[in-house]
Amino acid sequence: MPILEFHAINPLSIASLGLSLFFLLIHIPIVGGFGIAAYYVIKYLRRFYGQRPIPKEWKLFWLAIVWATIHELIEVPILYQWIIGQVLVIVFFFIQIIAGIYLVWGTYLLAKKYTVQ
Amino acid sequence: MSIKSFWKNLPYLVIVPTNPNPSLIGIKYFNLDTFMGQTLGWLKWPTLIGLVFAAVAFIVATYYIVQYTRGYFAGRKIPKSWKFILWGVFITAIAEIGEMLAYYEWPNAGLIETNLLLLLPHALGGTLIGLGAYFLYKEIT
Repeated sequence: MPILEFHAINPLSIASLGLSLFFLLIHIPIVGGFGIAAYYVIKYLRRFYGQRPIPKEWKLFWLAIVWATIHELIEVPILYQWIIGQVLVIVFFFIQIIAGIYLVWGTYLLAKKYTVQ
Repeated sequence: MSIKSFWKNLPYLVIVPTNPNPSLIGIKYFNLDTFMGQTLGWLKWPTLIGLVFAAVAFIVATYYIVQYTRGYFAGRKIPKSWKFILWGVFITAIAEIGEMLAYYEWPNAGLIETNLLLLLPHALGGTLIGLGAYFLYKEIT
């Protein structure tokens, strides 16, 4: 595997036009869904808590969604092979770990606060 | 440069092109030594750890969200927002497993892994989480 390479690959030519288009369009809900979630969760928290501080479990849950969005975003250049190489795999590794830690930590604290007394 | 000539000048094949006639299931091509058809070398174990960790994290998060909603709503009806978020996180866990299979099977990833385990669950999971967060906001406005 090379260290890092960039390639200008036409996303509409990876398979037949119909399949390539399907492949491209399906990434809108994948990346967009998480992005929209990050946007609305912070809007919800600002509205719900107002001037009060946002609790740690909710901050972590929001950060988990932000990092999950980054995780989904980096999968696009991986799948289209716009970027290939060891540097990308290392970056991908760290994004997955950070997103996973925030997700487990945030949801654990949410569950702990309301279930484990 | 016009858009038409821009597209025309782009290469027409990816670096490791996928098999144009994929099998239904490509598990026999599963190889931990490769990632998207590229040899991993020393990155074999970090890559595996990262991919497994992501899938496990979504499964564990599903469990904790169930615990949270049971505890927080305690007998009351769980709102649409949290139902959507819960299902979105769970379905994304399936997509993460499919993603792992597809990365390791590439360029011979099976149709089931690519579509039923990777693309469709990813799209559905993302949509549900996005909608869930939107409803979460709308429920207090």
